Amino acid sequence: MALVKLNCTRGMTGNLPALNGSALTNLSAGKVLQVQSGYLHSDQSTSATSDTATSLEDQITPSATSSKILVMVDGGRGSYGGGTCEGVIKIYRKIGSGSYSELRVAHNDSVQEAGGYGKPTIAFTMLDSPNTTDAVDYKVYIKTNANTFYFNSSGAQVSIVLMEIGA
Amino acid sequence: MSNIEKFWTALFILKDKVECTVNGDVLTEDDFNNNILWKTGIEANGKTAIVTNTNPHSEITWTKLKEEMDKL
Repeated sequence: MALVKLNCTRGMTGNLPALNGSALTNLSAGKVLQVQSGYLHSDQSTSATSDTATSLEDQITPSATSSKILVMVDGGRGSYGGGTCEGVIKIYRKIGSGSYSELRVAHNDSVQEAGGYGKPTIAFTMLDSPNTTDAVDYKVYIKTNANTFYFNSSGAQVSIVLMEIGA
Repeated sequence: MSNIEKFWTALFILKDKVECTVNGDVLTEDDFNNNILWKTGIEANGKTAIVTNTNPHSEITWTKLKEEMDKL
């Protein structure tokens, strides 16, 4: 067993012991069982006033029906074209061979004021309980109330990360 | 003006208030055929757009769009 000494005036010294997930056998809940991720750098923009799909999506297959899925969508560069608009960003979910349906509004009233400086980024996290061992797809949908809303622009990166959390 | 800004400006010159979503850029005819989701209606839930990759607007063609984009 590696020895780690904590020096209260100098902080920790010595090497930390190697650790991997298989060593966490005494934890009864909360293990991260798997991680999936996807990202894009391309522009994603819409003039649609109803929810339409972007290219940002990812899939995870839970190992147990009791697992929870931590869904995180982060980054990007919001913008507008043709005048002020209010963009809405939603997370849609599809289980197995079903169809996509709205899961959660991730970002609402993303006001892009013409002449202003609003270039909002998204920082969204939720814990989902899909109650299935079928493949679960998460996809970002967007819409605008007027003009053109950019969910992402100018080569910014926006990512989606899915973590299966053991119950 | 960026390429995607030129696309939107040219699109609205050809047909104002047309509703679509663009995933990526529209620089070629392939992009025009593959990167645009044209809204054709709304699903029964009242929220989700019914979309198609096939352009349903006769006023809008890749040739006309490219011409307008090249003027910008």
